[in-house]
Amino acid sequence: MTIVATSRLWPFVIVESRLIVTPDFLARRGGSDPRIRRLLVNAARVDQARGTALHRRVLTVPGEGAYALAYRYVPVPGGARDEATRVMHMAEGVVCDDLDAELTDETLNRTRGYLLGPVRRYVDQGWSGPPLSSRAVLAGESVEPTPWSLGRLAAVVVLAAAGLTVLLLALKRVLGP
Amino acid sequence: MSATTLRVMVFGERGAGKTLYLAGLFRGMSVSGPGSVFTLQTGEVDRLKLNRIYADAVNPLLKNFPPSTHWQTEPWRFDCQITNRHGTFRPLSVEYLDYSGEMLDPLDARLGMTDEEIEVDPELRALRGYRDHADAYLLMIDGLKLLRMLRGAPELAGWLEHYLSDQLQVMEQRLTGTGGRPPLHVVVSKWDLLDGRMVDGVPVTLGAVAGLVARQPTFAAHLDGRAQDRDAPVRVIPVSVTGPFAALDEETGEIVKVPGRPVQPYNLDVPFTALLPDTIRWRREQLLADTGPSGEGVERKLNRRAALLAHARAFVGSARGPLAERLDRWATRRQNGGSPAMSIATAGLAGELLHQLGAVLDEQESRSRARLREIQEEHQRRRQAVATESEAITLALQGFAVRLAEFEEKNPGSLLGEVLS
Ligand SMILES: Nc1nc2c(ncn2[C@@H]2O[C@H](COP(=O)(O)OP(=O)(O)O)[C@@H](O)[C@H]2O)c(=O)[nH]1
Ligand SMILES: [Mg+2]
Repeated sequence: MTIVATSRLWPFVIVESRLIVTPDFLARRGGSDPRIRRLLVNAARVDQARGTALHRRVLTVPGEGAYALAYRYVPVPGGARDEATRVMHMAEGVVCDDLDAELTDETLNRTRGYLLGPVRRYVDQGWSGPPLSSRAVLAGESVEPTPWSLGRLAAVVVLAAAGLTVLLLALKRVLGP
Repeated sequence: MSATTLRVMVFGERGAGKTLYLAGLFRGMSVSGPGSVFTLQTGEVDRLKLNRIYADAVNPLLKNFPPSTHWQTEPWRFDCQITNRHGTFRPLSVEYLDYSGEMLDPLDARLGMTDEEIEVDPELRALRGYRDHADAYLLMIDGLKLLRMLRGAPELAGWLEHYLSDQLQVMEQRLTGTGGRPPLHVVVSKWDLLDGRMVDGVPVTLGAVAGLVARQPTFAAHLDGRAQDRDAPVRVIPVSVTGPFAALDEETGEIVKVPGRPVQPYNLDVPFTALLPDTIRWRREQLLADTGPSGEGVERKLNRRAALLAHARAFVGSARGPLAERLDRWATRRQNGGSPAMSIATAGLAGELLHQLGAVLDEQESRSRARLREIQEEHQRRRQAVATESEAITLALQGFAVRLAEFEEKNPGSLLGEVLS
């Protein structure tokens, strides 16, 4: 089963047991219900023996239904450490309204851009106040501006030109003056 | 599953070393070594998980130690197992709860939890439930924090007293109606970082650390309370999962792996080993206190209770099941004016075993001091001969007593407060 382009994905992230980014519909519902505010932190159990592999579960939101949940426990970017000098980790993932969606590391890589800023802020200055709300992303929608950034494009052009020159020089030598 | 299960509540802040300790404990005791009379067993999935955590921690090819535990509770259950040609015997099971250390203090601003959220959080509830029904306490002191405190880190001034009194408060709250204070093992983690290290020109020793702990005002009061009520003793036990394989990088302040140095676990088994002996002695002491100083009365009372329980057990046909549990509960409540919570610990012990085992323990300890090696060999021979559950528990207990005697001889300062005998 692959992911349907119209499935909706909400990124979330938990660092050191603190929910930093949460799906907007959970934030709304959680406003009046502490159980819902705790839902994601409690659902995203981490099996330490599985390293950074993807965890998949079903998230049941009372009064709302079931969602697919995929997340992984990975180092926070920037190499921060906790008070025991361990590499600080975060549970980053997505909640998806399509239970059959095939959620992979690729899916999480796509939504990661949303989470890095808030994570950085938590690591640098701590966090006060409620978590940020993430809006739904359509699975078919491109999250990063373009797959080929200008820098990478330029690098490819330069490399191709250099390769061609080398080839021409070699040919010239073989064929003689 | 064995008839007797001891549930241990591990207290330890985030990063104190709980997860690696439990993984290391299982690793060390799940393979038989010289002198061991039993091995620890657990379910297949849990076995694989614990092995993985341990392997990652001591793998020199992986630069980092395993990450912190997520917000969750995770019970690990270990069965003591003796296997020989007569069969397989599981005289004792011990359960530990692992969790993320920040759960001990959910009001910490870093978590940003509201009162309502603390109230409804299911993992916090699980932790409280476990804590309030524990048969013994393992209070872990983070060796790295202790070292930094000893060196005068300003942010850690007052930390030890504060941390200890928070946890002792929880234990004292439980006192009402439980019939006393269960065994308490103060485990100092990361001992490899502390042992013999010079601080202010003086080497760190177990005696010094135990003295420091005992002098903290709240702890001193707790020890007094235990002594007055003839409660279980307190032990201070230094442990290390890694030994010299881990080291403190003084420049970065980080704990690093040092490939090439050996992994040498230290004393990981001692808190486990002390569980049953400390529980039995404590129970016996309470019975003695119940009946007053007249020795004769004690004997009679014990015999009566033992006969009664034996009779009831024979009737029920098993030490398990709800009826047997009710009986034990009844017996325990009678004994202590206590709550049903204590019944699990004393299920197999309250009556017929208690007296007998207490005597075994005392005798074994004095003998072991004399000739350790011979006794270990004798235990190996007897392991082959074990043919019943009760022989199995007696042998396990003798094994514990030998190991404890050995530890106590090397660490004379490890018992705090009044020593029960
Ligand atoms: N030197 C040393 N460090 C240890 C030992 N045990 C744990 N640590 C360090 O303490 C950190 C936290 O341990 P962990 O078991 O994850 O702590 P927990 O949060 O209480 O479960 C590890 O990453 C290691 O850096 C030990 O025996 N020796
Ligand atoms: Mg842990």
